[in-house]
Amino acid sequence: MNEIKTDVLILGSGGAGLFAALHVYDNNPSLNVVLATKGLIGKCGCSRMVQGGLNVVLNPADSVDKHFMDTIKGGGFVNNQDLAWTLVNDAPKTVHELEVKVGCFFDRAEDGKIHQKAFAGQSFDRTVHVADLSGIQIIARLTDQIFRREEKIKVLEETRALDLLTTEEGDRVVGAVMANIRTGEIFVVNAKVVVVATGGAASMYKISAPSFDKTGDGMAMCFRAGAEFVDMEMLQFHPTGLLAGQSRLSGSVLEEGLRGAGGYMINGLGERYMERYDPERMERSTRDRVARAGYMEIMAGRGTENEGVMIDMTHLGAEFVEKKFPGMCERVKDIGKDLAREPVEVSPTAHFQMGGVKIDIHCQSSLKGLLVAGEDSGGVHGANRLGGNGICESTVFGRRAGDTAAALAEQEVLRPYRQEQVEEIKRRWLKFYKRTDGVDIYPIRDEIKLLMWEKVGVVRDGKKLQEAVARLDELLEMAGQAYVANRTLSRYNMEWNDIINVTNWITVGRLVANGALLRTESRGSHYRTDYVDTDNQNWLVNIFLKNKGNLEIESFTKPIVASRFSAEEIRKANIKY
Amino acid sequence: MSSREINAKIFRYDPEVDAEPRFDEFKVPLIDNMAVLDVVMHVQNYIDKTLAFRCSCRIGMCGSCAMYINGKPRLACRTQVKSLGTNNITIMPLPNLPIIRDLATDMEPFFEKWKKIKPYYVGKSELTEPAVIRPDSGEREFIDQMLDCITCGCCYGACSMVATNEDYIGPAALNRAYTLIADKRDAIRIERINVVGRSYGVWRCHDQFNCAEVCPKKLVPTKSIQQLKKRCVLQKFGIFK
Amino acid sequence: MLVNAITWLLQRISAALLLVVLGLHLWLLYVANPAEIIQFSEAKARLVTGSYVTIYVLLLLFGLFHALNGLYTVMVDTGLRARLVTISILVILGVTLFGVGLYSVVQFIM
Repeated sequence: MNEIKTDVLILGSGGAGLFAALHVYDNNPSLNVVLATKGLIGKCGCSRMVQGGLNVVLNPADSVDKHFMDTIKGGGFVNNQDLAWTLVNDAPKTVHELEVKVGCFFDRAEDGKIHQKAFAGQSFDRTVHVADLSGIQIIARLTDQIFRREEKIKVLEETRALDLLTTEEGDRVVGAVMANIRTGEIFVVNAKVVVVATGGAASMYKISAPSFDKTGDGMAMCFRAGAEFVDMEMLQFHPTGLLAGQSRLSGSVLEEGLRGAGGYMINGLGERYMERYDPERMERSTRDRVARAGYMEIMAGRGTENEGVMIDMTHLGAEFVEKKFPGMCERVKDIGKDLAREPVEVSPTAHFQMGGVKIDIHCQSSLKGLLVAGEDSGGVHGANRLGGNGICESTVFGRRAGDTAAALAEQEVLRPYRQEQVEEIKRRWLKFYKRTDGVDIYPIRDEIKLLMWEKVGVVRDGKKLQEAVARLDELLEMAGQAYVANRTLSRYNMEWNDIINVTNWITVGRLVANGALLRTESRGSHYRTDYVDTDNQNWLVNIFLKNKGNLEIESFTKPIVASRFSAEEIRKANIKY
Repeated sequence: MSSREINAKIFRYDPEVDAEPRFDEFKVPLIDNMAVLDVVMHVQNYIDKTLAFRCSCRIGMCGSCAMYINGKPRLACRTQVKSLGTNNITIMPLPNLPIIRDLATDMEPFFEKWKKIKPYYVGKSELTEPAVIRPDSGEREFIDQMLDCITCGCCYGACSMVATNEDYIGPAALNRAYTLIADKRDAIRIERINVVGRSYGVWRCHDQFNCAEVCPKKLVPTKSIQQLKKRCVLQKFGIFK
Repeated sequence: MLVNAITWLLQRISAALLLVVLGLHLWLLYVANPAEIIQFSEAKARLVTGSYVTIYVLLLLFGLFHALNGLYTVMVDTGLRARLVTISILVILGVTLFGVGLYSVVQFIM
């Protein structure tokens, strides 16, 4: 079996992975980096799909304190405040680097300076953007910068990590077992530092926004390797996912800026239902609230025929909508509707995981040698993420992961991996080729999507969560019994990849469901009908989960990291979330 | 289009084992808002699990799913079955690229050429802050229109000059070069001019507009290439610096 | 690089000039000329006037350049490798043909 030895292994080529690679190189160009990505570089995952933009304080009338407060308020105050503070403070540097060094060109205001648009849940218009499809430019330019440094950054496309390699003691990651999707070849990357930046698993819901290839692989690997997780119950639903019937276009996000610009959310009866849920902020309320409101309208029978609600932009004038949101108009046109001239059916759509691997401000996880950045990490956003803080997180923490990785790689030695662990991982994932009969993975996949949507979705309760927890355990078992239709076909075998994807989904789904069961209150995107109130007395804590061994989940709680705005102040402020 | 069923004829080829490519035919139930991507996914998920193709975002932002659909390079995700005007769909891999398997092509030649024009921005050293450029200055009007490239390769697959000359850099890379060469913030514009001005560069374009016709982002690389030719000549006479 | 940009430009210029000279040629022969059938003697008579001779020498020059450069471009389009050799052959061919043409014109003047 082939083996690559390197200083730093980076998994994922979204904002976090690309920036991490860039920063390792720029810190120390003598270091060797392997950047592995499941799809084509810069083309898979969700950074590429960012529409709205990136929140950053640039205007002197704005301040990082305001951005910070917006972030933790929006996050229901359970954010790790150290991480949130890092986010808002690093954002201006990040945008500066994107413009001056990476070569992005964000839209300009009349005065020629970077334009900042309105997003929901924010006290200041601070979202920088490139029209309404910002991710294309951010990621394409970052990818180009990787090409410039190709001599030291080895890019492995259509190469996925199967599992992380750890030392005997289990407290350090020393690389990963990888699979080349094109050839089916299995090989080892032995690294001093591993950066996991593969994104979340919101795609495991029936209606969901992420790209198809993003299946929580990083999180699932980190869980199996024994890393600690935080806030896994917190999974965001975006209020305006396009409804396009059974077509896979369904669930794709119509960007937040639509509500920011003044779009109305209306139900099947034509009412602006946000009046009932957040009369003050109406449609510009945070995502968790608008999504839940939409869901409740639909559940109460006030939805549209296709179980949706509508977003209505017509009162803003067709010309304005077409000019400001060309990408959205075009997408809606694909399904035969006209966003600028008629209300369009939408539904809450699973969008983003606030929870993830526990990290510190240097992206260090609970395992040595393992750094995590972007959506796979948890704590930055608390119980709900603000629109525009997502790509902000991936780029800010991607940069940090790169800096940390470079520093660690300079200090550390390359530690050997254990061959028996490699064999075990190979057995785990290659057994699907060995069987002539077994379980078809696609019905399982369809079942999980439905199960998560119905039982671990926008509105939860203890009973459903318990059912989900039980069923997910069974499904994990079943997925282990899967087989591939053509046993000799290891080149670009999508079915084999889907078996891994589904297994990783279930692995992450179990964490979400178990976390949700433990949190007996409602907060942010986590809403339980059996505990509808936010309980600031008992629940200003974070739930931590980890692999106890044998994939059993161990849990514990810790008080929130409230280094800037104390739990006492939060309770006093008595803001209901 | 009255039938609720689609006849999908899909190109199958595994270069490792097959001597010849073949077509397999599949019947796929028609659903509302069905994109061609829905068709191939249905086939792979429920009929023939060994089919290979590439896709990611499914909303026309990543440019992974370019295929040759009913005689034209298109993004499978942004091609509504209804828009094809027929229930018979022939799906082949993107032309002008090596085939990995079935509909999945190897994009490497495309990106090797992309890298040739030095696609990365190199800022002028005196520019330490984001440039102040008023939107009404017109300075970036044409660049911004051309920046939305998603490197899907549709133009590359459609270009008859790429088909004729394997060294030709092709429309996407040249378009990228133009967006940098026209960007006054960039420090190595002359270096880039010297690359695109070589014989495998802009001179191979004969203004057939195939690229513009198929671009899912409605870019017009031909226009960028014409701009580049002009700049090459101006640079020869020392007018473009 | 130099060759590419300059020949590209010259191809355009020669095309534009060809239009002018060719147009002039057609106009003189078929519009301005009242004769139904063009006689050799008339052609012979025209070819002693300085302006006519200039027009035809230019037509020859631009036509040859445009045709040979066009041929070369098509060969490069289809992947020609032996460029220097080809250019040399084309230049020799061009010069020779131009010489032949010039020689014929000169015969009329003599």
